[in-house]
Amino acid sequence: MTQIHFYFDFFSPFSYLASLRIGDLAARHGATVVYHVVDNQVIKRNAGTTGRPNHALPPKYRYLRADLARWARRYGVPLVSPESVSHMDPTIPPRIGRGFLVARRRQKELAYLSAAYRKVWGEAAEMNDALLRELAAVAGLPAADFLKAVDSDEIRKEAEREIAEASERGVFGVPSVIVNDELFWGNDRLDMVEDLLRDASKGARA
Amino acid sequence: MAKVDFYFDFLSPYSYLATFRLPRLRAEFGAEIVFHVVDLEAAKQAIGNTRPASHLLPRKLRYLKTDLARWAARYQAPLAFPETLAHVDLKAAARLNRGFLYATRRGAGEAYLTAAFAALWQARREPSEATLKDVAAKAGLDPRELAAAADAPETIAEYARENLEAQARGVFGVPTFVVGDQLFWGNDRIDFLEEYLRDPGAAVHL
Repeated sequence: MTQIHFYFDFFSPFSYLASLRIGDLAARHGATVVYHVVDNQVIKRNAGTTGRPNHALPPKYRYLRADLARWARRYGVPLVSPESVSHMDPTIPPRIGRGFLVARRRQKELAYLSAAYRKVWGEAAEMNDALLRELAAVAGLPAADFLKAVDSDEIRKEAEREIAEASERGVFGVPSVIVNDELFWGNDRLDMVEDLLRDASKGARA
Repeated sequence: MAKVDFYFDFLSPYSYLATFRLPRLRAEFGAEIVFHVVDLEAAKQAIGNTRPASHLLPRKLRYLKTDLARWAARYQAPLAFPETLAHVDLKAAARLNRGFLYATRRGAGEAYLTAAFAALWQARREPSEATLKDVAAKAGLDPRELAAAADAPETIAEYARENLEAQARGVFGVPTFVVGDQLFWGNDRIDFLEEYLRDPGAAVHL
C-alpha cells in the first residue's frame, strides 16, 4: 500500500489546511498517511534558511493573511488570522508537537491532530498550558501524566529523531509530503500529490 | 475587460512559467494584461526579506528543480534549468529587464518578453551583452539601439519608477498579478486569480 508521509507543525496554518485534506486524499487512492510532526524552525535552520520570519515582513505578511483566507474559503473551513497566534510563548508549539508523539503511542494520534489544529487555527485558542491540559484528555491521559511524558527525555529524543529524519529526507519547510521518494512542499502542492497517486494507481492497473 | 497588472523578472523561472497562462487569461477571462518588469532582489530587499534565495540552498535547489519540472510538464512548456545560478551577472540581468522597457516603447514588448524568457529558461543562456543583443534581434529590434537604450538615463529612471510603484502596491516577489486591490503571488496562485476574475465576489478584504 502506498504510504504518504506528511510533515507538519502545529504552528503552521498551511499545515493545518493540508491536514484537513490529506486523509481524504489518501483514502481516495487507497493510500495511508504516516504523520510526522516536526519543528519548522529547526527544519528551516537545518536547510540554511535564515532571515526574518514572514510575520516580520509586513507586505508579505499582509498577503499571506489574504492567501490563507482564500484557501480557507476554498476548503470551507474555519481559520483564524495568524496574528492571533504569532506572539506567544515559543516553547509551547514544540510541546504541542511532542504531545502528538505521546498521543501516537496511545493510538490517539488522529484525534489529537485534529483537536490541536481545531483549537489553534479554527478557534484561536491560546497556545498555553491550559491548552496542553485540554489536549491531555484527547490523548486519554491525566494532565499531569501527559505533561510529564511531553517533557520526558524519551519523547524529546523521539521528536529530535523525527526532525533529523525529515531533514535527511530533504524536507526544508512544512507542510511537506513525500510519496515514493518524491517531495512536495506546500498545501498548494496537494493537487500534484493527487496527480501522482492517480498516475500510480493507473500504472498498477495497467 | 479587467486590467491585470503582471509583475515579472526575467531571472524568475516561475515568471516564465506564468506567461504560459496569459493566453487563457485573455481569451477566457477577458484580462487586459499590463506588463511590469521589476527587480526581484530589490523587491525582497525593500521589505527587509534577507532570506537567501532558494537556488543558493542545496536542499531547496533540488526541490526547486523538481517543482519547476512538474509545472513545465503540466503546462507542456519547455524548461531547462541552468548549470548554476550562483554566478549570474546581476547587472546584465537588470539590463535585460530594462531592454523590455525600450522594446515596449517600440511596440515589441511581448516579442521581447518571449525571446528573453526563452533565452534564459529554454536555451540556458546567461544574461549578458550577447544575450541582450540576440534577444533584441529576435524581437525585431536593432540590437545596438536597444543596448544603448537599456543604459539611457530615461530608461534607468523608468525602471526605478516601475520598481518603486510595484513595491508601493505591495509586490514583494514575482510573478505577481494585481487586479484592483487584490494581489496574487506566484505562478501557483493563477487559479485564485481566475476565480476572482470569474467572480469579483471572491475578493478578500482583511
